[in-house]
Amino acid sequence: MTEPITPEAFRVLVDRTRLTLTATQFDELRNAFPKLEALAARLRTTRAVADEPAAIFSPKV
Amino acid sequence: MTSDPTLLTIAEASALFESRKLSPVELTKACIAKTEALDRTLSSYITFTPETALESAKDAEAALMGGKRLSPLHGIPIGLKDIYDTAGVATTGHSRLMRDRVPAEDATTVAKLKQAGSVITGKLGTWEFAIGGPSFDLFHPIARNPWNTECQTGGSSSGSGAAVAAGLVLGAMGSDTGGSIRSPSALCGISGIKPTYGLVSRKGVLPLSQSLDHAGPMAWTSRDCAIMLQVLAGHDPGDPASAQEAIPDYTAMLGKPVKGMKVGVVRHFYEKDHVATDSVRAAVETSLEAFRDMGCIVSEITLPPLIEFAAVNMVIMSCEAYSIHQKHLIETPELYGEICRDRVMLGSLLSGSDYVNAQKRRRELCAEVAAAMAGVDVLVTAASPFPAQKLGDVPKWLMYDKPSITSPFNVTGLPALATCAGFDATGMPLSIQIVGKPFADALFLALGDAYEVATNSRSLRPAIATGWGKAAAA
Repeated sequence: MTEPITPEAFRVLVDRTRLTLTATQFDELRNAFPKLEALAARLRTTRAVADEPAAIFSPKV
Repeated sequence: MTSDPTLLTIAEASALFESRKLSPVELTKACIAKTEALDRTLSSYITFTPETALESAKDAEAALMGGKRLSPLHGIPIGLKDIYDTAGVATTGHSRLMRDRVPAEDATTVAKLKQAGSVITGKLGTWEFAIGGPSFDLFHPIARNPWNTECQTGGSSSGSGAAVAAGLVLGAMGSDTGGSIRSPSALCGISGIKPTYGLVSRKGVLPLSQSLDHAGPMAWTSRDCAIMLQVLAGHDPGDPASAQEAIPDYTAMLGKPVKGMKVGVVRHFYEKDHVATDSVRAAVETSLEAFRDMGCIVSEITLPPLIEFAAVNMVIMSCEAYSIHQKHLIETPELYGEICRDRVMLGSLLSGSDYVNAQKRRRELCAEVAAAMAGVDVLVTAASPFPAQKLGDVPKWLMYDKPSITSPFNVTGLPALATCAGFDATGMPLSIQIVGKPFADALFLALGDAYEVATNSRSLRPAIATGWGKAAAA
């Protein structure tokens, strides 16, 4: 189960995006957001700073 | 061998061209007639180009008659998902945002297909920008499943799945970011491969999530997919993810014994992590028996839980897709369909650290899967946890609620094939997924081909695909 997010807290998130949402879209995304947030939360690290692996890139183009 | 040329495989049609028992013009005319008879029902095409297809078929016929055969695809009708750029022909992504967009150049893969002599028949339906569907609010109707036109095709390569299953084309191009080749292949009862990441160029293909997007072929058989992959594979400096690998002969291993091949079955994906229907579970078990009968050595393999892959896939896809569409979602959100708009907008709410965390976890998952596969040649699991549902019954947020069985191989970039594994009690196709090691695409295609031959799984077509002549005459 995912925890709901309050309309006020969700408004803060949406305001950062510059997206214009209708009331219906706002409610739809507010209800869906905890599903994605739960997936993202699984990836948040519990490692010590020195143990963090690098997200690397290759300089070769 | 069928008397209806639209029901031939690519391999069969190509052989008949060589022996001059069939011509590209005859085949193309039959595909055009069938499309005109059936596509008002199936809606597989967004843009159908019969005139240019017929011109290409005439060119192919002249070349073949002159002994100039370019490839086994020479003269073969092929459709393109409408995210592949085509010079002079609209490429819309099935979105009002790009409804009038006409590219100046072909995608690299389209150019390769043309250079190989393929007859391009037009642009096939897609979920909007390969993510928004099934949708009913777009400018063209949604593709329908030829096995039951009340049902969905799966997505996002929806038109490609429908058109190949119905025999409107002999092969099609799809794209796959979390399962968009394999899901419609599974639900439409055809074969489709997501090649190893980097093997097939995405230059000129509308992106959804560049670090997860794969381009690949869909056809009636694994053998036909191998024939198409031979033309499509290879380095392209225009795609920054394109690999510099030697390209083997993907058909060389076809028809050879697979005895001794080590198959690892990943049961927990469909028995625990995303519980499949009884019909799907039974189909996988029956398939494993077939592999044993062919002399394969089957053992059980445990990978990280599906939810681990789903988290990485969904976070990366959401962030990359929003990055691509941000400007347009801010300025012209009304040009998107509801499902595409809402799914992509959700990505705006994640953070930069979420994206980096996903990329770091991705590397760990790749290492964990490689270690688990060390003792086997291929993996086998379900391709879809269910057969095709009714069109209106697909939940909008399903992919966020239930982890996908296909997305682990987008996260890891491993090559994966979906192929038909029988039918449920209502006659809808069931499917298995065969997964190879990086750039070992030839090996799992050989196993897919052997499985299809041993089980005769490619003998049954949808009724609409075989009875179309009578329906058209009436």
